[in-house]
Amino acid sequence: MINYLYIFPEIIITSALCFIIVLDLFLPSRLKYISYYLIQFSLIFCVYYIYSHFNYLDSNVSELYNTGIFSNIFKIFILLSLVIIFYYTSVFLNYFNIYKTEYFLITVFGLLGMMIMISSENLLLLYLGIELLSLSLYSVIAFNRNSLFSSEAAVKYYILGAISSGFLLFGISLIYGLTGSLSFNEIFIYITSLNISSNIDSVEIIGLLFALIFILISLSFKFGAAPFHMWIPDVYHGSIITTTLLLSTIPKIAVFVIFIKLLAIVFSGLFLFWSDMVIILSILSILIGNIIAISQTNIKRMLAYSTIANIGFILLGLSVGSVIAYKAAMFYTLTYVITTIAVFGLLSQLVYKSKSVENISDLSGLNSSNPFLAFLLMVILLSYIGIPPLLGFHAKLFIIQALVESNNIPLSIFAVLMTVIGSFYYLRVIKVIYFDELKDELLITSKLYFTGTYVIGLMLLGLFPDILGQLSQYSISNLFNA
Amino acid sequence: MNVEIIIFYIFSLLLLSSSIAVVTVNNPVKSAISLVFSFFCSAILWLLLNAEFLSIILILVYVGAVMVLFLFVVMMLDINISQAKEGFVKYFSIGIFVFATIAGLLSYFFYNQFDNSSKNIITSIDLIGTDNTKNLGYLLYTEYLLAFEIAAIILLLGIISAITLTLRKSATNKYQNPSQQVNVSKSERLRIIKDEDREK
Repeated sequence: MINYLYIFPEIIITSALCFIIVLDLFLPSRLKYISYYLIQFSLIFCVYYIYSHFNYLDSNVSELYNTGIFSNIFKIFILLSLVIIFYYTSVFLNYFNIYKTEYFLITVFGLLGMMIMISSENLLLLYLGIELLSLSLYSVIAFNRNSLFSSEAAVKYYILGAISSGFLLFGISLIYGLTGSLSFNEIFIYITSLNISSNIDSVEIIGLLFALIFILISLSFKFGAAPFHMWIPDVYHGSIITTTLLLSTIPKIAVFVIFIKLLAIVFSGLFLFWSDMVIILSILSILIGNIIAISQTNIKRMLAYSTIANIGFILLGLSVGSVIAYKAAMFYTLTYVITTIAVFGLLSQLVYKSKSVENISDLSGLNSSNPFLAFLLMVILLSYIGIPPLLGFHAKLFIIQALVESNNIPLSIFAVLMTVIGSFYYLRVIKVIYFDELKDELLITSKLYFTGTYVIGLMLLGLFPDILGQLSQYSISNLFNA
Repeated sequence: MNVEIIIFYIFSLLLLSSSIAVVTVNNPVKSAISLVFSFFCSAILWLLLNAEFLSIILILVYVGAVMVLFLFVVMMLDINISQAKEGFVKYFSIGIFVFATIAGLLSYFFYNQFDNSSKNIITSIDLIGTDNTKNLGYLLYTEYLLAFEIAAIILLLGIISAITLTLRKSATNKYQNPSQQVNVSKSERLRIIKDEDREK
């Protein structure tokens, strides 16, 4: 049972959705922008509500639905990211004349799914949240029905996603059979009561590991960690660029929260076992992501592989298992999301031969046609590489620092080497922008005020890394004290 | 041996063989019908576990509604079986390896876990009656109300995305306007020409 005042943010979003769905039917097409502004307003109102009721929401003691400080920080972050993503999306859809309010509505359903995932303290709610998110993503990917690539990407993602949901459900059912409960707290109590170190081969532990492996496979699929990464390049490539922007950012935050909650809290008793699994996932992700990205000519595919590599770094932070490492992993996730919004948002504003940018060579000579834009793109890519004083540097630094502190020197050397290899393909884009001949004029869909401000904000965050650092510190310490 | 155990073994054997048939049978229609049969067998197994409500729901919803729709779709599609079977030999060894590993681990685990199990998880839930349906309803609308409502939202999303993806108005679409059809007058459609030759 739950007091409904605590889930008021979700209720705001749901009622706004229901209202806008009906309202939009009665609006003539020249007034459709009203529903877009209403959606944006309701998102911002939701942020305001969470922010103003921070302490009240924290007093929730429900075992089903957690609205503590940790969840609320992530919710605010996701809502604000979605506002920015919607801005880029509306500019893009209006420019190409494919604007439909339903695109935003379906995405907001996905947002609701993510809020449920972040808050869930029960495997059943977790599953429902993941389903709500994935269903909305499937339809958003298939949105551009005229493109064969889009449909292929949507069907591919749908089938693989359904299989991974099956894995998740199988794991959950095994856990329910073993512990007799779906609640995170009771599972945690059961696992700690097992006394792992003395009877390492007992049947209960084998069963729990079995369930854990299934859940981990499913979550790694949603996260996009290698060897479960096959869908990422195809889906990123196939969908329109603003959908790629959506896919590559906020779902990763929600899955990260699930990862950290399940591994660091619920299954913390099994750290001995899952840390190795997570290390294998992260090494494979970093290796595959960085090396395959080198040979890509399509910029969306290249960024897809760079996503895989970044996910590998996040997992590397999670695998250490100390509070400092969790903080580093959260810092890395936030950095990754902020940077990725910048790069895809900027690319979505570029038009090459009356289509959106596809190949890296489309960008050649950008500097001579639009030096400011070229500068912005360069700053973002340098941040990806991790050049100080940009934000990406601090993110990588914290992860490697946490690795060194846990005496994991080989892994930290591996991480540094892979960063060097990875910098090649980012630098190649910069080379194309600055040193190649101008082919065809690139057009921009709207003025660059917003993107410019955003990237300057990114640079400021890099100069003052304590802002994000304190935020991560605060939320992670709240996660463990709650 | 009591009757329950005999029924259990008969229907689990049938369930296993029909599930194997689902993936091995060549004809997709036959495969769908084996799936129907496997649902039926698992409904019987649930009945043995005293879950009568769930077993009837399984038959009503899955067998009665979902699989019938599924059969329609399968019959309407022209599926090239030889194409779908192409990779069989190539992936056979990997499949066997994965199957053997998972089956071995699972059977080891289940054999030891539930061999001498005294754990009855159902007892931890407060029940209000001996009636299975009543208990389910009670739990669904109290403890799991939030989950129930989220499931409703998932269905709403399903409706909206299905409509968005299929409904497209374009100038080339041909559709009927019933009110226009009804309100049509004779003069709009018929032109009466006098046949002067015949009148002579």
